Amino acid sequence: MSGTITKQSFNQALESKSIDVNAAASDSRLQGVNVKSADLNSDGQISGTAETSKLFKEIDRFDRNGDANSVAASVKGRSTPVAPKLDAVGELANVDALRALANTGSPGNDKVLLVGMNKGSSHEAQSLRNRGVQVTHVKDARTDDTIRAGGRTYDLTKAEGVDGFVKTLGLPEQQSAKIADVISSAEPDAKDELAQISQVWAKGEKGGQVPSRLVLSGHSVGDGIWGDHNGEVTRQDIADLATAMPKAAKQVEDLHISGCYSGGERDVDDWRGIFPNAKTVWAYSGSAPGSYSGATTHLARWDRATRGADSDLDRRAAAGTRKGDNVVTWNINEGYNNGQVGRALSDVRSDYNRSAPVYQEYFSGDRNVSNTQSGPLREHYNDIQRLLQHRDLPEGERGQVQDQRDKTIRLIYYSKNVAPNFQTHHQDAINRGYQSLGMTPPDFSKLTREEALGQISQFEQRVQASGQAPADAQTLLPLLTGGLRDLNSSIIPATWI
Amino acid sequence: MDLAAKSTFSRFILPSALIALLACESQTKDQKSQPNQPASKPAAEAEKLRASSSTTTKSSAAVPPTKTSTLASACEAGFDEALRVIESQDFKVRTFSCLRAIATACPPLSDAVKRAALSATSQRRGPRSKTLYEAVKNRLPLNCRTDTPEQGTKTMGTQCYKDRHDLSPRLISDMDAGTFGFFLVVEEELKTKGLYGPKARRVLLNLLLTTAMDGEKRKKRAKQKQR
Repeated sequence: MSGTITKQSFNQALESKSIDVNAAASDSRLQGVNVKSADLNSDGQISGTAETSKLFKEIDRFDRNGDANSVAASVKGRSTPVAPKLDAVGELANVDALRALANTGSPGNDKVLLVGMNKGSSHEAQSLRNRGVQVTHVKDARTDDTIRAGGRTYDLTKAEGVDGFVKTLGLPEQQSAKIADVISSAEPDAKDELAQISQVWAKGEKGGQVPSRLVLSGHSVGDGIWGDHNGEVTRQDIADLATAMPKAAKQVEDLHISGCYSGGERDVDDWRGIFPNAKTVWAYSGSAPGSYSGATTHLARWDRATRGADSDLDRRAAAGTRKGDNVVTWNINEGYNNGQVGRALSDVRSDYNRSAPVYQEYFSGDRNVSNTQSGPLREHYNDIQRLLQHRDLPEGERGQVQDQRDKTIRLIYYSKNVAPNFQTHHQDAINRGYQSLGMTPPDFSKLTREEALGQISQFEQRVQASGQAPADAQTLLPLLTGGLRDLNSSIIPATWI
Repeated sequence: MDLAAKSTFSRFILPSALIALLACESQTKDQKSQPNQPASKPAAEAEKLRASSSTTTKSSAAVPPTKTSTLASACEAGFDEALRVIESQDFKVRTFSCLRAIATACPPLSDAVKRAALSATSQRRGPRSKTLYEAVKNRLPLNCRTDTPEQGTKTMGTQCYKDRHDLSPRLISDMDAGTFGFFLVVEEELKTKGLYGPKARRVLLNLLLTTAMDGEKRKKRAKQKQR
């Protein structure tokens, strides 16, 4: 999909729609856009071609494509400053097409968050800075498990210290409590690192940008990283923090795990589950080079390969370097590569067939996903991805497998994201559709999948039984059956996951 | 005792000859009520010593600590002391320090485990693997047994470790069967006895990593010889 929209298309998309001026003015994504100036008749709404044209002109001030009659939401795969503004307008006006356009590009940047559990990580961070990379370095606190924020030092070994610290993040109470839980549950001498990560990620939770590239540096035997005379940050810690701070986690595109034995295929799959928008992963099948014995060389190669929005990171980037043979990579196009001969298609297909039955169990609502990052359905998703990425998969099968992949990821996130977003997005249509048949509209965000399927079935039967169903019911039915039930990507957009 | 000056990438480096002495001394230091006790004591007597010590309990506890929690605290303190040495060393020599820690830092561990760990600290790789394996083989599940503990873990069969998703498969395959089997038993024993804390875990992680790295090196050398 092209990342550019013309003024004419913009106006057409907003035809018969209206945007509340106050809501738009208070939306952080529209900061700097003089929304009120587009309300030409001062009725508190932006509607009609004249007003949407004025709004377009305001947004165009952030565009650099040199054409006053079009704006680019993405350039060379990267989102532009225009993208969040189109996203906001699309959301406020309930126009999916604008939101989809806004999300064509990657919102990423080339900044790096380097979490270093060993002292040598300072050397690694500096080596990246010497290459012109903006690095935020998370490291062991001078006093174990303390953190400074707002001029105060918080003792993270005490509940009041953790509570006091999370308040400084400026996030909603419920979210702050989840972050506090993660920090409190962490191993001694790892709470400070997790707290520092949360400080960086808090910006992302408030609509801002966080580093798109993440380096986890330390000793490893497969799960997490630890440092000498320091604590251990487990993969579960990072997963829990990512769950508590999903907007930030979604901004991570490139992951580099600078730790021995960190790159097993299952481990890489698990990391990808934690960072759903990851496009590349760099890790190690065996021992990794130390901070002063090759890690900085590898970081330099990785830096060069992962700048921009490209996602073709290959392990050959480490060719000829110390421990280069131990590098494994994963990228969104070619999948996992550890330099070994790939598994036969028949083996990969066997895995897929073996795990396939679980899909129906979750689809029917017999089972529910308790953890979006692990479990049988996530493992089946990983099997689908491996099948899809196998070079020998016949082209004729690819479409069907892609469809299965898209449905499965929506099923994984059904309760957490899909149903709540569906409810919010189609609230009016749900109310009108149910009420037109004299039925009480359910709240799909609060129902289990099984309950939702029951409701949808009842609604469908009522529509079919009524012969000539009211227009509102006919409008709602395909949204429920094609969207919420069948999880079609045309109705459940990727932005909801 | 001479200590090297702090450098940017290590707290301190100790001459290896002093490491064993320090480990023992550290252990002795920890038994504050009985400063002259030797590092290893029969478990029952060690219990008595710790029961009389007032140093390892948290001051806020209104209820007297249970025997298990006292023992657990003591093991964690012992392993913590050992880790100050272990984690100051190059990975090449950590195997010996980790085994010494298992031998001396946690008296409630079974005598067989402690004896084997202590013997193994003065053995080269092959005999070390056999010593460690012999001490624990009867406690290993049937699918973890092997006739050649000095060989890789493949000789144990994948069923032994197929569910160890917390460990890299390659790490397991780089280890020798004897040390891996020893790790499995020690880990299980620590957990069963309520002694598996972060420091105990860390000693075992260091043992796993240093053993695997050594195994990786050996494999690489063997491959180069074949060419």
